Amino acid sequence: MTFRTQIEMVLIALVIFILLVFVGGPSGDDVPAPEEPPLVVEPDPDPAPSVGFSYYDGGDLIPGTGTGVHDTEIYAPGIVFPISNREAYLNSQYFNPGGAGGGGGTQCTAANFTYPWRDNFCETRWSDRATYNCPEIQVHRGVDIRAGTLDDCTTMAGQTSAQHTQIEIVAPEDGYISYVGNYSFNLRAGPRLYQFLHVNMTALPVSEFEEVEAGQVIGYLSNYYTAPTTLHLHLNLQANINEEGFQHVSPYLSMVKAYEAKIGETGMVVHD
Amino acid sequence: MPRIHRFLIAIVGVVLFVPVMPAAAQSQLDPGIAPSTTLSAQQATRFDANGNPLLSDLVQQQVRAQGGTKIPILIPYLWTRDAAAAEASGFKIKIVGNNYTAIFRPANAAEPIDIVIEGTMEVVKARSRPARQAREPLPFSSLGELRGGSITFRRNEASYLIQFVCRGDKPMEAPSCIEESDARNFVTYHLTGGTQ
Repeated sequence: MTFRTQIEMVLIALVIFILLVFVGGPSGDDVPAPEEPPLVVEPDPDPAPSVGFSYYDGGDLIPGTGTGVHDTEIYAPGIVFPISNREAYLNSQYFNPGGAGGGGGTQCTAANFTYPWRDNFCETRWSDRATYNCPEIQVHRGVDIRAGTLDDCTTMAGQTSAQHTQIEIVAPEDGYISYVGNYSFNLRAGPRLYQFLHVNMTALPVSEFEEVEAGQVIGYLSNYYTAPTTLHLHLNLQANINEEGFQHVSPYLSMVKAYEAKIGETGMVVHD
Repeated sequence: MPRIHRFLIAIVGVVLFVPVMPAAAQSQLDPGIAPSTTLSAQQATRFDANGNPLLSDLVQQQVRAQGGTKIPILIPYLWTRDAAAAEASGFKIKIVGNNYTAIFRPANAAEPIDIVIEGTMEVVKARSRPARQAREPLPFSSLGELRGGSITFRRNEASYLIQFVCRGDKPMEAPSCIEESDARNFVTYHLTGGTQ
């Protein structure tokens, strides 16, 4: 190899080096990126409220499901929220996913376990059920409350009613268990009568005429009924109102206030 | 014949060993209970439950344990007048202050039924006004989520709620174990008769 040839080879190598350093190699855009491993999100077994508590105003039912009553009265002030150890979501078990009148899907969907709450007192039903001030008479006379996480829901949906002891129901106020039936039990607190349905009736920790204190565990949320319903607590509130006698009244705003006290946070009212 | 009359009569028949007859006429014809006595029992419960000799010992004990109560205790006299009657009707009562709950689980009902009587003299004051639905003297309403019905009324500054809960293991679509007329008859003949 001649000296000149050696010079040419050095120059060629230099040019290649400069091209590589200052112009760059093959564009990264043309090279498929290596596949990243899929992101695995482990469910939080006890999540803190990730989004602030919010609720539709009392009487704002799901459009087309009845005529609500815009009643600002809090018929049971200062009570303890009836579910102690989980977050709760007050919404329609009948018209929401998984319900008999709902838009398909299953009960264990995110829409059912998300704020805002939605009033369902006075929702349309099919038999005459008198209330204090619902505009119609064939109505839902209580509120439906779901609780826990989607994982809770999935787990409990795979269990029998008798196995449901995860979600505690507590006494809203001091009183006594005034009645235990096949599918419900009542708590009497002076002029107020609370009725609890769809509780695990095979594992009631209280008995008829037993006196209880506010916050005491009195049952467990389930789907107990003549045939299993969705997992929720149906809560009725009857009160001896003014000169009207015992009347079904809306528990909704009482539940809102009790829940705010439970989570230590003021809820935000949202509108359609 | 209304179903509630049939099981009432059956219970009374067991207790008194008398032929079946309409419940309303029972006390008039029963040789063991003079009409005036029955009437005075109902009148007495209207005014004062304390030391009333015509309330059963079971009720008296509860009243004494509470140190007295102001609420007129409306309960069917024939179902509570003695231990045998109380047992046959499945009677139990709890009195707390001026509130009470009485439960009857009559053994001879065609379909098992719980009759739950709630009474109170305490009131929830509310600014809200009721919907002006037609209100009858003894308004009857279905229980909604349960089979059965209820009646609510006021007497002498106290309020009462009578719930008739069907206890048979039947689907919600099954006929109710209590008809409106039966419920009203029960209240009229056995709770409020003789009261104002």
